[in-house]
Amino acid sequence: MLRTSLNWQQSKMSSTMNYSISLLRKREIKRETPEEDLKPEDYQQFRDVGAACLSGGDGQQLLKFIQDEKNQGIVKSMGCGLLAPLVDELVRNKKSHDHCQAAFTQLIMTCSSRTLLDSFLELIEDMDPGAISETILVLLPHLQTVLLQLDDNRAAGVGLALSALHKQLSRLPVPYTQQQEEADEHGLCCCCVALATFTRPFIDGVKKKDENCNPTPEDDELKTEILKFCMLSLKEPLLEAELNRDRKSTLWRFAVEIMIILAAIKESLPGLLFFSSLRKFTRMDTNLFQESAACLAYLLFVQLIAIDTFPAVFNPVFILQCNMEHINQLLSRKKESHLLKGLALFAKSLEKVEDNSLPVGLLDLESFYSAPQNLRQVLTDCPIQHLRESGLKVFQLFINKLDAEAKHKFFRCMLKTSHHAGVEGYIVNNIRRQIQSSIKSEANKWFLGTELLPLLELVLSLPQAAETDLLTNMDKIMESLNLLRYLLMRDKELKSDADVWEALCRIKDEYLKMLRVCVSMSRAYYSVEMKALKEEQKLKAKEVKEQARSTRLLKTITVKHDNVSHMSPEVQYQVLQSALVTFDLMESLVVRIDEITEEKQAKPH
Amino acid sequence: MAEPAREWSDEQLKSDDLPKKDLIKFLQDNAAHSFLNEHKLLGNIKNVAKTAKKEQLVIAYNQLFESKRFKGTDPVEDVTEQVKAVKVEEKPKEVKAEVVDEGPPKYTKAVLKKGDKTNFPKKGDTVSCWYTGSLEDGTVFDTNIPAGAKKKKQSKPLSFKVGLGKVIRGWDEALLTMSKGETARLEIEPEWAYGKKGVPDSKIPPNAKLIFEVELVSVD
Repeated sequence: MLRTSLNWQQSKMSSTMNYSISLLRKREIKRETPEEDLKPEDYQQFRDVGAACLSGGDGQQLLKFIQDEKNQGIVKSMGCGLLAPLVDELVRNKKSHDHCQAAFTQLIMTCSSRTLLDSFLELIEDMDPGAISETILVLLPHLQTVLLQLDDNRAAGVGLALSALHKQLSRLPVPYTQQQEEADEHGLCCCCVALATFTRPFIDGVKKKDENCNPTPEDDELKTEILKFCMLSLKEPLLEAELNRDRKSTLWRFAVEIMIILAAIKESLPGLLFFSSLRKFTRMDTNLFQESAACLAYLLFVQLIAIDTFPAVFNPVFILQCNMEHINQLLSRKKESHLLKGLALFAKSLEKVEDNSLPVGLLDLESFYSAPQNLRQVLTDCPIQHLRESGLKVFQLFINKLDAEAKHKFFRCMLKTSHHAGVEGYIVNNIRRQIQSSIKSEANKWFLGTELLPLLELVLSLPQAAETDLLTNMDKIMESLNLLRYLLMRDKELKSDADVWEALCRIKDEYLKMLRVCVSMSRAYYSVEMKALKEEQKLKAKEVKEQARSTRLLKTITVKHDNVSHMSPEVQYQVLQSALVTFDLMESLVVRIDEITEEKQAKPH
Repeated sequence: MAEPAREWSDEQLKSDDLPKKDLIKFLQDNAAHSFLNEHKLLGNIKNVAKTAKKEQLVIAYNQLFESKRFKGTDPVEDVTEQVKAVKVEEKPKEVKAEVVDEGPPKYTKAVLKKGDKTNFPKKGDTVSCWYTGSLEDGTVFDTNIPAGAKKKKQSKPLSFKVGLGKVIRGWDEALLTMSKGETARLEIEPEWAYGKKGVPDSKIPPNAKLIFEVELVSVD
């Protein structure tokens, strides 16, 4: 048995190596197929010897050994074990660069491509997480050579290599700012570009076959593997990255490369984006690639990469319809990188369509329902202000593109489902503007006449009747009162349909009655709160005075109202005060509406 | 009106140095509309170059000087009746006998190559086309025909379901009138193309009339 406890500091490499080799050679002479006879320990031993050589600074010797004609048998059987130590050495030690590279080259010439590939794949899987980009950059050129040497199953080999490499690459953080990207601290950017370069000979090979019109199933398989790599890359890192055509960063160039690759393997962009040619993948992959397709849509339509290769014959409404799925995908994630892209794609797709043109039928499509709902959620929940601001612009743009019936349906939907006074208020404002334009220009049956009534019922309603919290619902209530005031001023136009006017008045009266009750109840409650707060302050002041006089430690002052706390009394007071002001404001508007009603009634028709 | 000068001698005309395009341009610039129409010389120079042979062009050139049918020699009424793409300042209102729902079709079709006249696509069928799209001034804004005749074998024509609003209306309407194998030249008004907005990203300006040469390859 080989001695496992070898003392490297004392013995020279050559003697140790030779000792191991002679033992192996003895076995080789005895057997016809020495590889079969080699045990795992032997492989491990060989590997350990090699590793020690390198770390001990004897790399030159190792190279000589590998290059020696006499040792080719051994090298062929066990050389692959040296790949990992060589890569390690190349990553850590710049000085041993030349002979390590030469050793690599020799191993690749000598060993079987299949075994080499297996070793590479293992190497990739086990690579040091702290040196991912350095390791990848070291092994890429050699891996490429090995794959090009493979005669059969090359496509599968390429596929495995690409997905293993990508998996490691996706562990690296994606740079977020321009400075981060330029610094490329973790090497993600240059690795991406290196990977794209790595694929080129395989793509060129496939292209040539296409030109000579004799592609084989193997070629098709290779195209599929490359397509998979593109889709993986679109998702990570491109979807996370900030890509801007005005600033052609490294990742931008990578995005352009991916588009070039897609064209080279003859993947049609309409196929990928519109007609789900992703069907060629398994269902699991198709789900994974939804995000990739969304990123692709963004790169094409917003960043205009390869837009000149995209057919200019599609109907803009059709494009919007197809993109809505991608938009929905992007808006459903809570990441800034995704939302930014989703909003931009949404805006761009809407801009291509004429105002007032989208028919109501579209709103029945799942994506047309979900995307605006996701958008609404951005408006109400997203903590990032610039996203809320852009979101609001897109929201209004969407409304503008709907035709009258679709607007009507959308407004009803939002009033019923948003449960957010800010959004509701915004919708009510839109309703008023639609009525306004209906009156001024084209009479539109959806915003005048009987169709208006169901909409008004939703607008002029208090969610919890008399117990509605007026403060949280303030935005909606104020807009609703404004709308009511407007309607009353325009009574001439609206009175043309007597039934509608009567119904409108009934709705108005019920609403105002309820609102008055609500206001007075709220005012009473807050007044009580305010009084109690004042009392409490007085009490506290008194107790502080007494404490100053006496030496006794007083117990903690009881807090009478524990619901408004965590705010200082001054702030609490301000809150209560502004609440009361709000109620006054609402009431004054109600009073004004009553005045207008009376004025109109007093006037002769 | 002075007669235009003969630019080229007989030898020059026959020589390979004279490109077809130059001849066509000369003819289009100087010949009467009816003359051009009879000799099939109307339209986009590139397209004419594809369909016309050099000998035909030389013959036409000589005939022009013999017949003296230069520009301005046509009676005015004839000119206004012509439908082809000579630059017209004001678009004539097309009032056709059969009126479709919303009015007359906003495109015209000229058959360049006949189809099998049997396989016409229906709404919802998948059609495949080779096409070239250009603006009125001749700028090509889009084509899926790869450069080089051989390469067509490796590329795929554009496929989509016709008649369902996936493409511009001009295409949807026109393709339903075409049969398998037919090549046609479509001139589509902006209302049935990209309208007021155009597609700036694809170099289509607002209110652009689009000219497509479309070959219907297959119908499924």
